[in-house]
Amino acid sequence: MNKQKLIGTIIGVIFFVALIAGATFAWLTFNATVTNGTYNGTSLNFTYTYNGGNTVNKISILGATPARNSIKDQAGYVVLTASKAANTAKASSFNIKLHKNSSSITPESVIRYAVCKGTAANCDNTASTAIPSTTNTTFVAYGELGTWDSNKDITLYSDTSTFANEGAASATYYVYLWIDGTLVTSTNQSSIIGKSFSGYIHASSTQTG
Amino acid sequence: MKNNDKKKIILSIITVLLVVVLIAGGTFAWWTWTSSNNTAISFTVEGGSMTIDGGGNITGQKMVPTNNCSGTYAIVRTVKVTAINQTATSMTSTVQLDLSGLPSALRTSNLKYTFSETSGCNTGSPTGTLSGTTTPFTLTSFSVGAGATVNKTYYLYIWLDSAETSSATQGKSFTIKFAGTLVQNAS
Repeated sequence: MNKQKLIGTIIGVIFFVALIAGATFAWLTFNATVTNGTYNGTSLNFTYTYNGGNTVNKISILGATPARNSIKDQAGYVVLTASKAANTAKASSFNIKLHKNSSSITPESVIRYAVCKGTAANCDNTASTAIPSTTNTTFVAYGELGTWDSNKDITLYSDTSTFANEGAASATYYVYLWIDGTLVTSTNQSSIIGKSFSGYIHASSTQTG
Repeated sequence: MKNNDKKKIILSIITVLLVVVLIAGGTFAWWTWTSSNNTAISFTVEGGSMTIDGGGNITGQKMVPTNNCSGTYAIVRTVKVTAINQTATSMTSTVQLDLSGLPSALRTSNLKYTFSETSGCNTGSPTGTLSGTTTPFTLTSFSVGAGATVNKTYYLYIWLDSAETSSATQGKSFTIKFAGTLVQNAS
């Protein structure tokens, strides 16, 4: 009995080792004949060619709906271009964000922004035209920055249409920044004039299936 | 507790969590892209400033009816005004007199003044009178272009004209001082 147990144990150990090693006990193998079963493909990309434009180091105190050239004179605007190539996945959104490093302007709600999406012809060349106080087909975002924490982003505009399809697409965005002079009063101007804002504009996007 | 009951509870919890995530708009890890270059946005809000140098305080100015608008009994001052516009929009600078310390008895049409960029005065042709009740009283205003600094020198003469005969103007203390505003024009 002990001998049988020993042999059984050895066989068991061999089987166990063979299983762990992934061995099979097939001595005869045949390759399958495959038809219509070869699949080629490539994973799409998800990247943009992005140009963030020139820096802004000066903005103006202007009226509620200022002329674009009043802002341009002070270089208080940024021109962003973004494009994705033919082999890129579709995006749920393309987000233009303003990151705040620090600000001593109080209240920050006096800082206004507007985003124009389109060509120079409808965003830039008609520079004497006032920026509308509401959004429309070209001025897609408008408002006050409000107050938010330092070292955090706020989204100025989320484009959910331009890059919503797979493949090539591109867009140009004009971001205008100014101080709403109608909100600067004799009582609060000392906390606005001579005060500074520091941050940067950047962009992000999320792919969708 | 039976095993079946435990399974039911666990499944219920997982289902609730999934529903919560879906309602909250949770995503399930798509590809993402973030721009690698940041466009710096750093600015200091610029405004403007206006200073008025009234030419020196006066204490104990005596005033009597006179026919000498630059004599002992007249206020005579050289006034320097500087207006600085740091913005991209033109501004208007206004030079004023605060007459809140001028008693009504002295607000006679014979309290005359000359305010000019040219030195000198003539009792017969003053710029105007300080008889009104408006204060601050506007002497002059000028435009300050975008990004411009404007320096002005004015000559001020205030006197009680010799035509004044009323005793009501006698024995009255007064204070007259400069004021001013620099206002951005509508863009």
